[in-house]
Amino acid sequence: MWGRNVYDNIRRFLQFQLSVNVVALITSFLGSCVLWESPLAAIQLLWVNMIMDSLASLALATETPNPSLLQRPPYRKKEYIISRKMMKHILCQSLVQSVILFAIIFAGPSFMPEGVEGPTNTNQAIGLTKANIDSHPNPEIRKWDGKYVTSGMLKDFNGEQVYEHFYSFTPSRHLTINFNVFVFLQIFNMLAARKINDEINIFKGVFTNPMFCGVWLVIVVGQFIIVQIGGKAMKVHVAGLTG
Amino acid sequence: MLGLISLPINLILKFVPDKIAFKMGNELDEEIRASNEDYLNLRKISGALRNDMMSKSGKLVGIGD
Repeated sequence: MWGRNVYDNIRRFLQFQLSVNVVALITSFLGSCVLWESPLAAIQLLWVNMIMDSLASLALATETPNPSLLQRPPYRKKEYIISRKMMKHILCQSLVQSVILFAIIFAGPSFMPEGVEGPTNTNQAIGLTKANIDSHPNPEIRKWDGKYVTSGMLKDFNGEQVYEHFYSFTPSRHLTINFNVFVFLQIFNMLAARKINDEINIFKGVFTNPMFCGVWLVIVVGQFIIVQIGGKAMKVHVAGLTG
Repeated sequence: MLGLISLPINLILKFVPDKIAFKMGNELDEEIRASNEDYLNLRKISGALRNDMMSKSGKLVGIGD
């Protein structure tokens, strides 16, 4: 029973880890090609690496065995560690998550409402103010009415400054929201990765593993703290959780 | 809240056939079928053995009485 459980735990971790890495790589690579820098900063990827490698491995590798493990056939001698079922989840989750993140990155400034910073904001501590916007060298950006978030893209396709000028005031709220969505997609994906044989109830037995519950909470709380107090060190906007 | 999308996607994927993904490794379909048959045969044998042992132990108990 323990042998099967250890093998399943490795599979759980692999399924989760591969989907996280595929999404992070696609987002960073394609985003960098278009935005002039990675939408997920290096320091943010380090945090993601820490929570998704060290903490998540602790959580998923400590799932305890149950007698139902003995009710199914043993793994075959030549069976590959990544099953077709796992591959289905890895590929589809990665695809959907990448689409969501790209929608935020490329179309976010057209539909994500801005309610924190903009021309009406007078408090520099919570984001860009009218004075910051007026000092922008690009006349197109100076026209920003604050209805939707401003793009975190450093330069536009013509090489004109977009967010580059604003970085001295505050990191981009647009890209902070993107970072948050990425991390929370993985946090809930971690819950789903507990069941690798297409069991419907992914919450079954979740409280029998205190390590999993503890790690999950640490990641959620850690993410909130990082966005609230990370500031320029973590390249996050203080109001990145709003919106 | 957008992060929650992972959960419904995971649920939907449970009803999607595995065939949409490619298979890794060099295991042949015949080998999979053969090992499944082996497993079913072993289950039958173990079931028959268990029944046999139970009936024998029942007889033994009967003799003792």
